[in-house]
Amino acid sequence: MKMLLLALLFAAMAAGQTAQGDIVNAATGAPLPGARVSTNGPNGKPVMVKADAGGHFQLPAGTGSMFGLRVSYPGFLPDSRMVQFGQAGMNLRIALAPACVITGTIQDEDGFPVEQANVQAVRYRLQRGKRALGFVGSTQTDDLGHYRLANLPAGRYWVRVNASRLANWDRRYVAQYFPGGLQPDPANRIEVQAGQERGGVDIRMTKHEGVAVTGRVETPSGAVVSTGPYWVELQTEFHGMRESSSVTVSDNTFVIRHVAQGSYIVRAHTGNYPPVAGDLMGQQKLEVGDADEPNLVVQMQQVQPVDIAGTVVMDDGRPAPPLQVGVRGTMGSGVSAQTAEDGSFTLKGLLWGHYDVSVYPVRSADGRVAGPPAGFPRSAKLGEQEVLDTGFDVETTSPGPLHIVMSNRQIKLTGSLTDASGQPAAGISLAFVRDENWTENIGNTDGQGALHAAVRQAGDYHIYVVRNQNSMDDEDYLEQHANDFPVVHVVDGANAPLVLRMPGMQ
Amino acid sequence: MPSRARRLPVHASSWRHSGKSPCTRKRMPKGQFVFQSLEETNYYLAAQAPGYLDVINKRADFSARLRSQGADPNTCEIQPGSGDISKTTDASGTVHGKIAVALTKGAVIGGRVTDPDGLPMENARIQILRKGPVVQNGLANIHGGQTNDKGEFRAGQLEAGTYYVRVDQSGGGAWESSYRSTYYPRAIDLAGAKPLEIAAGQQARADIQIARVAGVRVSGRLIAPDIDASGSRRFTYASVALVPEDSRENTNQPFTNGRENYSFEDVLPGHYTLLAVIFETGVDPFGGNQKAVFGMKRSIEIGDQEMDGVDLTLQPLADLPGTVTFQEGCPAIPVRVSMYPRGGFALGPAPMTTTAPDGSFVLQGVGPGHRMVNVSGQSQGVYATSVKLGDRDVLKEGIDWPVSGAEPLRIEVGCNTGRLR
Repeated sequence: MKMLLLALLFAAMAAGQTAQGDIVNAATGAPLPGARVSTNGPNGKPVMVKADAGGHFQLPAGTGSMFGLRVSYPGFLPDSRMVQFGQAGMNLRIALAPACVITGTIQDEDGFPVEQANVQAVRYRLQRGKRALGFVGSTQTDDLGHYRLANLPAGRYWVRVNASRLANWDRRYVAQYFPGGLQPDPANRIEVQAGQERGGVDIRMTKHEGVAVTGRVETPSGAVVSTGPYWVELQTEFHGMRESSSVTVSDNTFVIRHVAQGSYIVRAHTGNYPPVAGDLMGQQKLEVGDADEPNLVVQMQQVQPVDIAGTVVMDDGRPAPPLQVGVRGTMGSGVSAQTAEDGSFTLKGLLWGHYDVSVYPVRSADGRVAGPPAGFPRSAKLGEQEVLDTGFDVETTSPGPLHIVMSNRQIKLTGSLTDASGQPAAGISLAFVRDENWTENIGNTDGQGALHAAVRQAGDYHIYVVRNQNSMDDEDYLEQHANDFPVVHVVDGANAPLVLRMPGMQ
Repeated sequence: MPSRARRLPVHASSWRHSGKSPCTRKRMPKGQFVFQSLEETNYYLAAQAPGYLDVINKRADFSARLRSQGADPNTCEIQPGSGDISKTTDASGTVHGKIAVALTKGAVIGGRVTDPDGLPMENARIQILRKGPVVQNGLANIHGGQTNDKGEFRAGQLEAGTYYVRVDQSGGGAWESSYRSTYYPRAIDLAGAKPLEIAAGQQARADIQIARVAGVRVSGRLIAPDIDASGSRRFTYASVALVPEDSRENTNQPFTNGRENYSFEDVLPGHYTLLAVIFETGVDPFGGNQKAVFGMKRSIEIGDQEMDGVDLTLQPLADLPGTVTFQEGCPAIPVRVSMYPRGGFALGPAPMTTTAPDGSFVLQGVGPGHRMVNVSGQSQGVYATSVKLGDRDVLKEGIDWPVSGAEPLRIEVGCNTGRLR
């Protein structure tokens, strides 16, 4: 979504129009004098103005016909939105939601403050339709162990602390969740209402003995280790939240202590990270229970560059225009290749790692796109496995040909949006979400409340007001506002104009 | 005054002087620590306790040297260093060393930053500065941080001393072009700053209101040869900097429109260096291979009038070739040669290359500005003894790049570094 907003930010500009509006507190309707409003002016030059004593602002003439606005005020969640002029000027009313704050103190087992601990507000987020833990805000404790997690949207959070400075002295101080424990417990979420400052969320960290994982790395016969000692890393992932610990190995054996129960990936590699050709790497899964793991063997393999061939086709049968296919590795830089006339390509020299797939138009030196638009990737398959959203792993052999299907089908939607009192709602962003919680696209209303949106597929869509940059990955927000608007059934081809009315105050 | 940390949990660590990582770590809630079964070698100690200054091995006045000897690893002989050490021998002949490490309470500077209108300034960068060896405008940066949502900051773990507090825009907060980097309490330069003198364990408050001072606009065009004439597909973009004399920081965030125009808003009168560079990258959206291809550097005097039409003509940035030779007795190994900014300002990344077997190298994409030449190698103790550009030795003073008609660099490398204990 952020990419979409950024792309729109630099959309067509037109001179002579001005935008003005009022910045108010969403909870009380009171004006916010001094609120900062920033946008891009003529030629894309940044412009910042401040709201006057009545909360009113006016952008200088020459701002584009479609432009990005960012509004901020201390203690409130910033608002970023695309604004589109109608036929006349524009008078915006932007309501900022009061931000939430969680504060507390982090202590060690003996009750002494923990300095420089990283504290996070964690919740499930929806990323590309998938539910994973992620942090919405983070901060560090001061010398008294105090922390202040600010600028949080209203919602429910776990508070997680990772005290690496303390753990450097005692490895038993692993990352923990309020009020204690290594996993987030639904009963221990902290709920904060808009504008609320919730104090006393204190964590007294405890030492977790865990178990010891002892093992050795085995190198292939005849392999010559080019550089340095081995690193052995133990990585676990609970719903997207990663924990890892590592040790250096100089004599092919290792012991990692204080490991909690869970599912792990054990990864061993020689000195270079990310690996280079000729290095040795090995990885395997490990289930850790309540007993020590006494004899884990990690088989190492020599890292070799591999090639992946593939093709790109359009979903309507047309030949695909020239495209740049790229894969970016989580452990290193990317590799890309341009498609040939028949849509074929070869990605060369991929080393061990996990890769995500991207497709870009080919651009000339002046930045223009060569050939007709190819749209967006609808699918990327390695054999029968869909990898567009998940990415794929490369070890020592090619994982197979990569088949990419592009599509530039879009279904345009138009309509109108009014507020609860029936007045046109200007400058509002709406998200269209398919049943599987996939945010399909963002539409915007112009200065007269006229809606312009597009989705990629026919289907049933829930519509949400995008209140802030965190709205659309907050499962609580999606649940609470699922019925703000009726579900819209979108068909291929022409659709009737949507007539939408917002519930309650914007 | 130093105080004994009897009731505090003390983290204590002992380092083998030749080892890379702590060989023993202890954490004792009552302030005592014991290291047992020590191997025969020398050690350094480090200690840490909440609210107190860290004691690390670099602090010679707190370091203590222990030496164990004999086949029994529990038998230790303590050789007093500068710490407070005593030793006893029990009936079995085991030597017990006792070391008292005095910890000093940390001082704290806290405060609140507001914008010129009195609103809290969030995400502003805070620097706690002190006269010291690592200097910038005569000051060392002791502590860095950011203000929170209320504009507040708190810097702990400070030694007793005299400090200045400075706030600037690097934290990413909403910053207008007329806002100035401001010293406590509201000064735009060090001369007007108020020093804060704090003793061990003391707290000082430093509320800062950001100063707003309007300046003039400096703008113009970037003029460079048509680099697309070669027919190769390349992306280019420009970067421009306006750096006050004797500073290492870009004064204002510039606006550049592609590689055609630039402008700086609200520049204060003074003597500046104006630098510009055009980079090229491949068409690959995965980036990389950023290379400075055109550049310029010149002085400019700015008064109290707007300065539009300050056009900048950029010249091709030539590669800088050179050779490395080794002092007698040093093995001729491949070394890495780089040019990094120090003691001045430079645009673009530090170019780096590795020498060929014959000692030759070519540094490409050297962006304009003041740069030092550095040599490093895989084996320890490789260092440059001289770096000559023509007849001039630029090892210590660096190079103001670009240099028209620059001759190849001639670097002599030595390998007999001493070791600090």
